[in-house]
Amino acid sequence: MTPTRRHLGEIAACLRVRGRRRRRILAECASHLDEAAAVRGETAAVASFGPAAEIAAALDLEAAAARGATSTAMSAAGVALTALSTLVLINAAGPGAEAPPVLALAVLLAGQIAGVAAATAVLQALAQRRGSPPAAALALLARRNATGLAAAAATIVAAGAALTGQAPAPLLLAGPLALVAALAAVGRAWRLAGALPGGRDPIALSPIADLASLAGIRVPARLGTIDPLRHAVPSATLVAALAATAMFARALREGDAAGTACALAALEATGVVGCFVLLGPALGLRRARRDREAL
Amino acid sequence: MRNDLVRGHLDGLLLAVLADAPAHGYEAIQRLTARSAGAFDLPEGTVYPALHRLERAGHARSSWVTHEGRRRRVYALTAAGRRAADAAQTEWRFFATAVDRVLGAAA
Repeated sequence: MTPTRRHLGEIAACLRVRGRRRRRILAECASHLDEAAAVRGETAAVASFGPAAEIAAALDLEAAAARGATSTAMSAAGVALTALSTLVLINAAGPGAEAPPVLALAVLLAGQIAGVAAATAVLQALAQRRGSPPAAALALLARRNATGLAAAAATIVAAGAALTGQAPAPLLLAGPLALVAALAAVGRAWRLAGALPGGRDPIALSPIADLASLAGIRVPARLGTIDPLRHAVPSATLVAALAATAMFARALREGDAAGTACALAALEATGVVGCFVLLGPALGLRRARRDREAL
Repeated sequence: MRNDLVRGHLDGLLLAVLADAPAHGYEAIQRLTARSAGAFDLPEGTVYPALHRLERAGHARSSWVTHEGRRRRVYALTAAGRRAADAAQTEWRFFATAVDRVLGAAA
């Protein structure tokens, strides 16, 4: 075996990415080594190419970043189409149809979780589209996408169980089909990111910081208080208050009594705080206690 | 020159060499070495993650081309890549002037 083929074999052994991307990487490296060997000889070509493990690690990280970007786009499309399918499902039910309260609550909560998870994932993917994020950030991106997809699936299942009606099949199926395709892409991205060095490290990334970097602005210190990573309690309180106010206004607009509107607003606030406590670490919106202690 | 200094600017350097004409990885690093008069002595394999990153950012697109029986993945700048190359050049001039003012004044 020639030195260039042996080096190529070492790169292949170190690479964790599989499939078409792997074939492309190895073909590019083989082409480069052949060009260099024709000019400088086999040994010099290998020496100037660089250490197999280091090159493979950088290529793996880039492949994981590319998969993260693609799966986020698919995931956002899946959540949006599922929202459309769910609305079609709800509108297909007659005007007098009433959903059981538990299922109505599930649709409300899961729908909001899907929206928040998808929005944080899209912000993160846009903010890191030109850099080389660490493997832990890519694993977090996959977790945010997976959470958004799971919550979107829960939303449409709950809506389907709660209401009956007739609607065009393509509109009803568009969401679930997009969800399945996105879930496969997110699974591949998550597997690769998790297998890279540091891919399982705890990490929390602020969507506020992502938004600020996208807008090219510095967040003023007083606005920094709404950063969930630094001030978990005030930021959760603020978001819960905003969500409760929106729910209260919506309930009044739909003709509910003030008492009912208050009850719905309280339920919304409780749901927001509960989700922040339960899903915050998984979504990278706050650090879990064991991670804070480790730091 | 220290490799970590060059790596921090590798994307901008590649944008500059691809702005001349499309190139495959080997050709890009040869242009980089030639234009730097041999000052940039990076491991050649490090050019591929950077090229893939430019492609992911929408600054370059690539395709396989067969030349004299040899397959090569050729990278070309997109319109966004040309704008990014101009921006990188402007940013570098600003930075270099500022560093020169400080280090030059100290010398």
